[in-house]
Amino acid sequence: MCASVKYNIRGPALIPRMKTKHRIYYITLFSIVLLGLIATGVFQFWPHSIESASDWSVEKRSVRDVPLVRLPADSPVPERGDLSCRMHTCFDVYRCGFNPKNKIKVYIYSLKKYVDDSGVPVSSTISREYNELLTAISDSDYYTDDIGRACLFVPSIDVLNQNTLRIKETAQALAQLSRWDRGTNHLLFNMLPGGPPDYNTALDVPRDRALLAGGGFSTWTYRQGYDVSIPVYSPLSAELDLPEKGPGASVIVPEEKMLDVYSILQSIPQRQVEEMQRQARWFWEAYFQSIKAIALATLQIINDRIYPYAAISYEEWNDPPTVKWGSVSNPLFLPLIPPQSQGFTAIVLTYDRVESLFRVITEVSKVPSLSKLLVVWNNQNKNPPEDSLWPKIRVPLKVVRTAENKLSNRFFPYDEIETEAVLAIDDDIIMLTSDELQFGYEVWREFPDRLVGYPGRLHLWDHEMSKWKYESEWTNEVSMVLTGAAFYHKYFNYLYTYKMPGDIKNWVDAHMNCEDIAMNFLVANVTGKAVIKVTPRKKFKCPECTAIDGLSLDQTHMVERSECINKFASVFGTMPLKVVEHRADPVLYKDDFPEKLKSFPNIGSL
Amino acid sequence: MQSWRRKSLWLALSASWLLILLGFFPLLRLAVPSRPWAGTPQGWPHWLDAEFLQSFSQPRELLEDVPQPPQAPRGGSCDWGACFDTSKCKGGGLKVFVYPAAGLISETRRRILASIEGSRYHTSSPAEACLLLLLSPDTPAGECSPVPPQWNGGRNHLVLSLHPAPCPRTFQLGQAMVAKASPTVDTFRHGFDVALPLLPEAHPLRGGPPGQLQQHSPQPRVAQLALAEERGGWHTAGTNFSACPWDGRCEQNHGPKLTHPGATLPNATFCLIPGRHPDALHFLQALQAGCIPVLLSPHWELPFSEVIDWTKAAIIADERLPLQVLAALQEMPLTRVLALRQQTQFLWDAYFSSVEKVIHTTLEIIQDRILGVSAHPSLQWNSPPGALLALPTFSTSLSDFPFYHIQQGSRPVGRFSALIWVGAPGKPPLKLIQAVAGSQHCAQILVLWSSEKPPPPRWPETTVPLTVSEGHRKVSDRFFPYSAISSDAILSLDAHSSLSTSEVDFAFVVWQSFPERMVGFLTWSHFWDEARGGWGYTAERANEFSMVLTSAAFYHRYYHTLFTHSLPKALRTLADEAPTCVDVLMNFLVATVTKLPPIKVPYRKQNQEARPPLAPEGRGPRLEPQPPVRDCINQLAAGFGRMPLVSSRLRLDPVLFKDSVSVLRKKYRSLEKP
Repeated sequence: MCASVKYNIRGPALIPRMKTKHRIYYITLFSIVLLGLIATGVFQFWPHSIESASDWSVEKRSVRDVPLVRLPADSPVPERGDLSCRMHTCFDVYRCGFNPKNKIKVYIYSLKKYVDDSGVPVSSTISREYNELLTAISDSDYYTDDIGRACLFVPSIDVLNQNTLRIKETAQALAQLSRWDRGTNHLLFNMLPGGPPDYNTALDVPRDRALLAGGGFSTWTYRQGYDVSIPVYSPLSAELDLPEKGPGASVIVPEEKMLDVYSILQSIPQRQVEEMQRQARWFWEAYFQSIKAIALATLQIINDRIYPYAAISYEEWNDPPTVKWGSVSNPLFLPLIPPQSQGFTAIVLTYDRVESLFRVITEVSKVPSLSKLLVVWNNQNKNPPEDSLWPKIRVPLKVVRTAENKLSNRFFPYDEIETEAVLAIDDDIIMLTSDELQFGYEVWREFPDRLVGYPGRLHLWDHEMSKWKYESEWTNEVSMVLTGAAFYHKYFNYLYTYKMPGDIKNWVDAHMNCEDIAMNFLVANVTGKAVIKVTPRKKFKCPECTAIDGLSLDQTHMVERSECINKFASVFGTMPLKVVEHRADPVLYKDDFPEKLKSFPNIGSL
Repeated sequence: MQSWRRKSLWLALSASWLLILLGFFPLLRLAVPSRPWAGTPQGWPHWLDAEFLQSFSQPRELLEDVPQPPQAPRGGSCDWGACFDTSKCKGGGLKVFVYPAAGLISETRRRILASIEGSRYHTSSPAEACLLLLLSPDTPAGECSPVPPQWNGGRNHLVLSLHPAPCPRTFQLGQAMVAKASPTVDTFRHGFDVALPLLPEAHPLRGGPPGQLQQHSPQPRVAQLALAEERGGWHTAGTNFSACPWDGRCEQNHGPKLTHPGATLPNATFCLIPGRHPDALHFLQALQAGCIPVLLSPHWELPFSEVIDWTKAAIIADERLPLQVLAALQEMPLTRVLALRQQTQFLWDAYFSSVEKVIHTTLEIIQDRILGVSAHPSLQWNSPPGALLALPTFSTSLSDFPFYHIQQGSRPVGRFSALIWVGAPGKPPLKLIQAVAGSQHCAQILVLWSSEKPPPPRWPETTVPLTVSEGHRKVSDRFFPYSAISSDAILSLDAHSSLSTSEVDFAFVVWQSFPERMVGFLTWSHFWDEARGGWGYTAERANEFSMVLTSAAFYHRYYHTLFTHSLPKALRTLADEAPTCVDVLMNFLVATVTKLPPIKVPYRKQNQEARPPLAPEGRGPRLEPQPPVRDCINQLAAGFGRMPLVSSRLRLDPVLFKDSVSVLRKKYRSLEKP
């Protein structure tokens, strides 16, 4: 207010050339606008507090005040559980079609107190646990308050413990729910089924098609793939059963074997006990430590059935994080040797060394298994040479022009790559013989999930500096191969481009270095396997070797490379590289055997 | 003037609009409560007295008028605990008795019976058996069997019908378990019955064709979708399947369409299979072809669903949501497609490619139920090499097996046990013992003395424990799982083998990188002999190899267990009768498990490698037919049902092997001495 008054006073000075009549008109207009804006601003904040205050009075009600519903004695009772129910017969998926994010929508009926004709309550209105469970659903992403959009309905009628309710009347209460429709798409939770003398293992309340999430089902009442098995909840958390997705962490003991339990448990070896305990504890903590988690786990299971293609995988359910750490699931786990006929695609990354590039193209084109050659032209300021100038080779040659001079362009999953095997080769690698390249391809076929390359490198732990160090000397070990000349599966291009952890990809592009180290980290991390270095060491033209002004450049380079290793190790959170002491040579390499009978005689020659 | 007025009018207009936009809605909200709170409240209310609510497990009092719960319909429903008597299975796991065939039986049936009789589960005495197996008749010619003699109400019986029975059964199934093809979900008793795949008529008995997938990722330009047709074929839709090609629910253009006649395998990334019963046959075809099965509301139980996690190899979708399913397939990430495709191939090869595998898987499932806690963990069923090749009796810890180290993030135990087989000449291999004991990785040396001559009383002093055990006459004894072997790695040696410490050290380090493979020094290779129409093998040095000799090789001790407990007796006998054959047999076994070639490491005495008594026939112009006993490789190929050997063209050498660098830099320098 104050501000606006001040503004009014200053007004005339700002618009001195106006006539008074218009000035007043104008000022009034401005004041109205300002007042309006201020009022709006106040309303934006103020009404909220009013709303939440009214909310408080609306939502915080007493259970005692819920509306009473009288059930006539002759009101309908649902059918017994339909044992033939499956998702595709008893569940109406069309109701779930609304949900864009592959997430089911759950509606909760409002709380009522049910009494019979004579006014005797049907059950205790709601238990603390069921209230907690419904609160959890209500607070989750699954919840909707729009009954018309819901795909799953949860009655607020508490059937967690069968012993606290009257079976027939509870069933009648269920049947009068507004969207009951034989129980279609309704979900009931029951943890303590029948009590003495029968101890039935499932809720005895007739429920027709309603899904039951419960513990301790016997095989005949449990409708596989329809009902959801959840733990028998105990405040002491002594008993623990498992959800349908979790074999592995429980020991199922047949009832009549209860006496043998001790000996069964004793027969489990200690190591297995520890493994089971760890897994069970994880299960408990992740899913079943609280009733809230039970509710959400149940909804997740039903959600996965309705949108199976979006389902979280079995591993995600079962793998405790501690097991995952240090273990890997290789994306190329099937042991197979791809057919030689497939051949490989050579990808040459080049900037402007046309002469050297042409030599590389000519050399590589001599390799029998080459099926295509892709030149990645990384120079935006200069056009690639005219078609007529390129070497004539027997396989298709394609030039891809890039939008930016980035090192990661080398590892882009180009549509032009039609073979699984990719040979990444620098435009100055002219010293590899056709035999060596062909042999490299053969080795890749035997190890299609690894990086198979020529110059090998090593990472070492520098005890003095307490960090990793890059090593390119003549060592007895290798843990990396340079991608200046390496075969690998094209899937790793996809991983490099889209799944590289952290900021590594940008970091590499910004520093114009270490794309090969990043690739080595990526592949080792995802497969858990070492690289394969092929053929003897050669004098390679490589950054480490073309030190122009001697030692100093060389040293800077080594320091940079070491920094890369340390940076990547911290981003990956571990050192995935594996050190090995072997390399691959042809079976008869350097053997006393007629050279002309060897498949790859021209190997190791300089 | 006019412009001023117009401008201010404009300003006023826009300001009032702004006011309406910003102010009206909150005002409206304030003025008109959006929901009367007597109706449905937003979300579940926070009860004032939530703290005072009773816990469901501690009810105040039992409410009156608790009616008797209706009795469960028990009749005809069996579960494992109630209808199977595990007390008969104590010790030694599953023993299966098979009712012999009565009267005329088909050749297939005879071979199936023979296969079970030759398996590790078989017992010939019904009294000893814990499971009695009744094979349903498979041909109209076969007589409908009367009630079997030991029937006992069907208790501990498994009625196995690979094909729908042609004649009605003459007796009640009672408490017997039923293993049949694609049972309907309504009658299937989970954890009791076993769901089998629906096999085609001419399914191979043993081995079977490998999966069709030759590479990990889908080939470019291959159709994305194939649809199973009622006539038994497949038709493929192009890569762009915006139209939904099923049910005629949406008849738009289907893109390029190709109809494959007959039972050819589909060549596509996804195979849509309707849920009707006869389409179960398509499921197996898709699996073999590496085409990811997309099952549309199957009305039948998926095969071996008790143990196989089908979510890793197939997509089960609701046939009522065609557009969502197709959209999901199109958008499926490459990583998932890769994983699903590979899993189809693994499952096909591990459990479905032959009748024998299907039967063994059935028995293995029942054995797992008996074993309880020491049954196969789910990971063993669902990752290579599969549960049939990972014996649960070996260990309950996954890291004891050679296959799961990468998944588990573990490593094989760091040392090896040398096992030296001393044959007929009976000379203690003193030099060899010294060379092996000199290795820093050697944990112990075991000498298996199998000569007629008694072993010498004194043995050389070694830094590692040396044990001599006698009385091994049979060649297959050398692959017995001796309890004395404590390390994961075994170095198998013959008395006349000659190795240096360096060679042993390097080979062991290589083995640690490939614990599931054999790492050896001397190699053989197999070849297809057109002239004889059979397999042959040669010890001649060549550019490739497919076997390493067990006279000097590292491998995992698990293969001793597998050799002794999983190979059919007939094959082990074959090896005992023709000692040359034992090397081939071991290589067959390991290759069946790994599907990969063994690994060769450098060996200095390459030229003196020939083993005169064991040298196999060469490629030479030998025209006379092979004596049956010596034709080992073809008998083994028949026994395994296929040729499992895989060739390799490489040798693993030390990194600086024969490089032109000072020998002092080299760790394994003695490997290079001439």
